[in-house]
Amino acid sequence: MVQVPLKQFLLNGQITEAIENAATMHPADVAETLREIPFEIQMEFIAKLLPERAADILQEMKLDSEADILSELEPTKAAEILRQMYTDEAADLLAELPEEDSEELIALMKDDGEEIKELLEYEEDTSGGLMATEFVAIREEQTVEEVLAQLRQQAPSAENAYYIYVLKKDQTLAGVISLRELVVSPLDTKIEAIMKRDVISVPEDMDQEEVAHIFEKYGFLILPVVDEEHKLIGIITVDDVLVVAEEEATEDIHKGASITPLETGYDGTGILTLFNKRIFWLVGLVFVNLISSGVIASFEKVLSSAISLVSFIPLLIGTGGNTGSQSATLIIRALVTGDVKVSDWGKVFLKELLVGICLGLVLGLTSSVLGIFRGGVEVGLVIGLTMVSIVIVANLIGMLLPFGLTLLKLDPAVASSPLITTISDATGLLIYFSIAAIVLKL
Amino acid sequence: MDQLSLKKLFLKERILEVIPVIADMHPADVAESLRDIPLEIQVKLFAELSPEWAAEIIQEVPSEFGAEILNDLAPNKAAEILQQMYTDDAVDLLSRLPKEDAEELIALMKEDGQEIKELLKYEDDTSGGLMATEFVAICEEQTIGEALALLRQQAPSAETAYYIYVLKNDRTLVGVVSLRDLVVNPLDTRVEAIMKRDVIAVPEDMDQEEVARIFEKYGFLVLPVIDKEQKMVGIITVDDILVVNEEEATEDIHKGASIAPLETGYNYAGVWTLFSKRIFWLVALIFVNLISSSVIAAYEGILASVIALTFFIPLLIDTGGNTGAQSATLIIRALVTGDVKLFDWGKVLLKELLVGVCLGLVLGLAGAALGVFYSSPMIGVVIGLTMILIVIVSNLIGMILPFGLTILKLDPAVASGPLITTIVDATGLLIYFSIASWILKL
Repeated sequence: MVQVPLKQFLLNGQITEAIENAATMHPADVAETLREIPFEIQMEFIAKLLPERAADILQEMKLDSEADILSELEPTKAAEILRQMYTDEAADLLAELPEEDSEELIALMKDDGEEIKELLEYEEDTSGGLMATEFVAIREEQTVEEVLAQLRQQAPSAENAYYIYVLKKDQTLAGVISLRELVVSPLDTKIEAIMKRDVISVPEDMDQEEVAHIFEKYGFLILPVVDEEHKLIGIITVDDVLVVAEEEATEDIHKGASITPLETGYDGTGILTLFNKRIFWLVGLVFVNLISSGVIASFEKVLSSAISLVSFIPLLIGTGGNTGSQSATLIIRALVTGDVKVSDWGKVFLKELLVGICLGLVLGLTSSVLGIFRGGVEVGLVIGLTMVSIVIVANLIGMLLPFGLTLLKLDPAVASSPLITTISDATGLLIYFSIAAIVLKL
Repeated sequence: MDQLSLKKLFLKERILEVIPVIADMHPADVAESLRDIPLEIQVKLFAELSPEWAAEIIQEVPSEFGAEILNDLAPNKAAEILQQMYTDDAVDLLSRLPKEDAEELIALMKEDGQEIKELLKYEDDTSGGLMATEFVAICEEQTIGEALALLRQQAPSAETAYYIYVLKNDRTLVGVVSLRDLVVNPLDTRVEAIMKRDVIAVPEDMDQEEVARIFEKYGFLVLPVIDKEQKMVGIITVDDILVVNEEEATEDIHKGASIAPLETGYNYAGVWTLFSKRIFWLVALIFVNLISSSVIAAYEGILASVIALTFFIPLLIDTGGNTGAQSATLIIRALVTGDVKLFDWGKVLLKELLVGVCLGLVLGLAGAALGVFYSSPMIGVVIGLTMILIVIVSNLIGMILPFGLTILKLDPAVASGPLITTIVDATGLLIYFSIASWILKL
């Protein structure tokens, strides 16, 4: 984790010293240091490394910087580095490059290229897009001793040797055995005697979010991927899923603010893309807001006879919006994580009704005091009553909308804070002016 | 057997018929099928199961529930089950029990109890709170053959045997070998010849969020935990990190709607907890909202002479709020995931300024058209100009606040949607009335 000397060497252009210095560092730490170094020096550094080491370090970098470096390197060097990478990483990387460039590199990769070509055909956000093809496969008739000998010969990387897959002749998945069981079993044991037969696997086209849920539910380190005929075609390791989980959380958080998911990180996203991902909902909500304008316009008489009512509009609708955003956020997240199921709606409704009443009473009391202070007892009464009703209603809107969307098989996250705020504004204004008209006899 | 008929068997309390059905199921699936089963029936089931099996299932149940089940079982049975669990899971459950009950169970667990007692001293959300103490340790002078023999003895109880830690006599951590290294090298090789020496380890008091980031950065499956004297005290496995990540994402999402972290899932949080986690910000924001009220009160004369101006209040301040909530959400998430660093502020400011101008122009045009349509050309000009300015300013407020909070070493997530909306409301009204009085010459 000591990065200062490496950074200094690189900035001074002392590439040989930098390589020596980086030799004992973890590739992820080297990659982090490279982030702060000019591109040409990064290139020079990577070009002078052994392909194996270069692959280790590149795999830890951000995909877009990785692709930039790779496309600037000499094609033969780039192909050599790609061959040293895990197939899933290499495929992700090649998918980032312009088509001719990636085809040229795949051709240079010889037989490894074929495998990559097949991986590139899968959608990026499915199990096929996540999987690597490096796994150890054995037969059930083999003995523990034979398998250990095979492992010594193949010398797979540590990650891919945790689980060894038992295949039938037609490549279909028959069982699995962990390296640990293998090591602790007597050498002459037949694999079929110790393998686990009910292997949990995922189909090649499963959505990555679902794959992440399976990892989380079962606490697996590795999941095998099978095709339609139940043939083993790859494995997904849990470290890739950590990245997926972060991406999915970011997507959920963005949706909560009415932002269409960005495909890359904020840093790598251009102005036009940011604009595109935000403008749709902003304009859409302007039109929803017209309902609020309509409500005010229809109570114009009430307002012009008691103009001081206007000054409480932001307070009342703001609080309603905040309350509704809170309940919507709680419910959406609970639905996404499976903490609450659609069938729980009755229980949740009752809970939010009670929470809403408690919140309404406290907020109503606070704001009626403010109302009395500013506009007299009658205004205080109007503000207090309005606040209680707005808070209870907005809280329920925030709860009902995500449930309703889920029932209609739509994404509950559409019930974002901005949408909830805008809907509860119109409702709130209607409540406000109705109560004002009654209490103030306007 | 499908879920529904299994549930029926449960509800009829035909436990002896349930047992053969769940025998073929993965413990995580059994745990899921218990979700809607009354606690008394669950307790009856666990009383019938062998301690090992019961432990495997309870480890998969949310710990709030697991603790309730343990509490209702006979203490002897509960202690037996706890002894079969990994220490980290056992600690998690015991920390949720009333103190006397936990102490009784720990006493019944004999030697295992001592270890648990040590672990209970760590804070829940630190590496010490996450770690288990079941790891395999060897000395550097041992040969691979000796190490494998030791492994055969210890592996059944270790949480993970894929990495074997090399310790000195005083238990300081000097190296690590993977199980794969042991398998592919000759049996008479000494461990010191193949071990990796620069082991990345975490201190026992590191915050869990930071631990999660280390797992993600390096792609590790297991991390060793050391105390202040570099002595190895436990290991953290990546499956626990998936859970931590989900918790942290939920916390971030909740903060985005001004909700204080819940500690348990929504499903387990009572009405009172939900109320108390939400009321603070709602009340506080009312006071911030008073600024908006004062702004309106100050311009009451203008409003009284052109009442149509009030129609557009919700439209303008909401659009500002929505825009600000979007930029704040983008920036907070980018800061949390490390996608944007603090020193990037200049670049981000420029980017958001440009995005804001684009958004402002489109929304301003829409707003102007609405103003003309619903009122008069003059009002249209006021609304259009106001919209452009409000959008640009709100967008920057949403960006600057999270950066500012981070610089002040505060949590950027405090700049939640509701807070931004409320601040932007007051600013927006000021802009609105200033422009209106200038153009309409009031």
